[in-house]
Amino acid sequence: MFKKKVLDEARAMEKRWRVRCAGCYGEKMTKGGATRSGMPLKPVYSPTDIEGIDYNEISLPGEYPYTRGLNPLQYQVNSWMLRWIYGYGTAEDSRKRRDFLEKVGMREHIGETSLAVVNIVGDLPTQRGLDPDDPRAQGRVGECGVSISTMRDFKKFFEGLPLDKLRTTFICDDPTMVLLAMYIVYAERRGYSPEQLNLTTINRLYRQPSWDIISWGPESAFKLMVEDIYYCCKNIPRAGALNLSGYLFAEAGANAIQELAFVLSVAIEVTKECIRAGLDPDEFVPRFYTHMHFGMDLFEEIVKIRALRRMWAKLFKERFGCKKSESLQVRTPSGQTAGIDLTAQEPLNNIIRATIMTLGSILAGVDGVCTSSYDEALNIPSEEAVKLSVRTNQILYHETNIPCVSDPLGGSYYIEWLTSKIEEEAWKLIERIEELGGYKKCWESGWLRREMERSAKECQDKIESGEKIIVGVNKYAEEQAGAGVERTFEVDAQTEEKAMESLRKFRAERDVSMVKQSLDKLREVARRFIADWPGSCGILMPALISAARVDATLGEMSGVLQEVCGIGYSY
Amino acid sequence: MAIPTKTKKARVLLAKSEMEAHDRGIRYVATVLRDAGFEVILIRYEIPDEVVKTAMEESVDVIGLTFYSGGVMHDTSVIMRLLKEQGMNDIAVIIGGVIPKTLIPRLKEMGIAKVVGPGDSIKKVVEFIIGKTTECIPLSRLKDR
Repeated sequence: MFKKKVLDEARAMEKRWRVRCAGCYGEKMTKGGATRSGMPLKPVYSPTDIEGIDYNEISLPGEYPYTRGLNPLQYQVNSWMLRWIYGYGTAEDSRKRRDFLEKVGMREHIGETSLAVVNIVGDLPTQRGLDPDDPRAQGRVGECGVSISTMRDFKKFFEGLPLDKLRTTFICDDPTMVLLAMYIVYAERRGYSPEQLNLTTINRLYRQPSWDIISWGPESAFKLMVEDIYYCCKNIPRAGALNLSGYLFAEAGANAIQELAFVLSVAIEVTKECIRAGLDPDEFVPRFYTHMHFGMDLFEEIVKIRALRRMWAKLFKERFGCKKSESLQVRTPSGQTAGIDLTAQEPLNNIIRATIMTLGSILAGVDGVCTSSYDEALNIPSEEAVKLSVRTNQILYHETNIPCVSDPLGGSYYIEWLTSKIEEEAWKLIERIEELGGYKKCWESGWLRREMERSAKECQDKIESGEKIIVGVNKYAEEQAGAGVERTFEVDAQTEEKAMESLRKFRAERDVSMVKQSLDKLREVARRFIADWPGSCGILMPALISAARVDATLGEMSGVLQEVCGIGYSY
Repeated sequence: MAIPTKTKKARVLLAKSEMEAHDRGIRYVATVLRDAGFEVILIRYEIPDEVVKTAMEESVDVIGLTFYSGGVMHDTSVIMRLLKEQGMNDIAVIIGGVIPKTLIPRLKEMGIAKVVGPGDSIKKVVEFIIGKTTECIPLSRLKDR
């Protein structure tokens, strides 16, 4: 990238610098540190560190391989999207939180289009596919997400919202298709066709190694994921169909290199399965999107996003032969600030942490951000805290002048060197996963879980020993830990009762024989779906929609799928 | 703390609901306790009754539960009631995770021996378990953490 003369001069200059530093501070000081993933760092970077990098690998924003961002003018055109995740209590409670977030400014802008955002997370029973009256749901209804099980809940949440001006995501993985079917039927009753909807299905059925919840085994999971993608491809032009969540891997312990490799390995495995089911990569790859983790190792996290864009572009161009530019551009609509880096002690410090992480996401050029509230280490965020997290973004956008220039860090010796290094390491790890048989096999064998557990332990050991400093926790700590956390928000204690009462009424008003008939049909279709794969791709979603039309509940439909596909743990 | 002289491996049951996705903490505790010489049994349960059944079958000295996403009051009350019914109140029950301060008096009333949370040192957990088991490994054998 540089002429020989420049490099010779740079080398000589750096040598002089090193000698001078060693003279002033001693040899030890010039050794440099390491990133969180263990990448050794020099104390300073210069042109010699990036001499081997082809300028075409860096390129310009909006140009292949998109290292510097997907859009040429980035935030000069629009702010990054604000994609907060919310949900607690009943559908009415969560609707209130949605309206509050919209009032403080959470909207999505794409060119001239402005969309309201519905990004609701289900409580654990909903995520598990259980209705609130299931004995196994007891004690958890509405606690850590919203309880949604019936069309009545849909009505309560969505009433009055223009469905064609919404971007809807249900953050409930196992019932992804069940909720999609219910949403389509709800939309149908309001007079909207699937083509009019903007939605993203979460579909993270691969997540068990990082999210230790009882779920489908690897074989069924991949079939079900592809079924969802297939339906979206054929019926909903504006649907995102697969959330690739580096966030979950990282929260479970993965470092930056592992996060990249695991996310891309999922993308590879799902792509192969979609091709097996007869889909063309250029049809479905543009519907994949990522949910990356943004932690406190500022520069390593920034280069992780840059490396992700470059690796994605190369992967889908070179390996899968994609032609469309949309297939080569990895979407990052919700770079989420790291929950694992927030502390329960001195929670106000989290405002500073979240600001730094948000700044990093923007400097990395993500499409959208979800900034954690300072009290998220304690409970569901309070309104005050969640408003502050939105304001953090608005201040960064309007008051700092950062959006004036696309990819302001591009070309930094350190950033470009580290981007290439992280990329190189991540490719090696992807190769290792392929050697072990791919993502599915590594899930089944427990290898993925063990790798993440090892990284988590390394990290925690360093905190325990004080090698890694967490302000207010293992250094400058004033508070007595272990006395429980101070809550800033409480979910209504009557939630479980209210949800059960609503469900009782709903069940009483429907035609039971129609429900039974549709569930029997669903069971029969699901059996064929599993047995005749991949020829059966496309038959399951219509059966779910039929069941939703006669008001089958989330628990009833999920129950049938779980009975046929089987749920459990692979290791 | 007095260092016990006789040694017996304390048996610890660590349990997490199948719905609770957060297992980073409990797995860390399991690894550290194992490395410190305890016998550790790590399970996932569908309903809390299974915890008591396993505790009985495995004759454990200590039970550790974890809660990040709700369910703490429900599961704990079921477990404590069943332990009492089975005459197993001598088992020390310890709870980890994100536990609101306001719930702690009620948990203590139920008989919970200790609540640990974010930022607590793992050393405290290890020391606590040593203190709760009459015959156990000497502290000197624990790795310096």
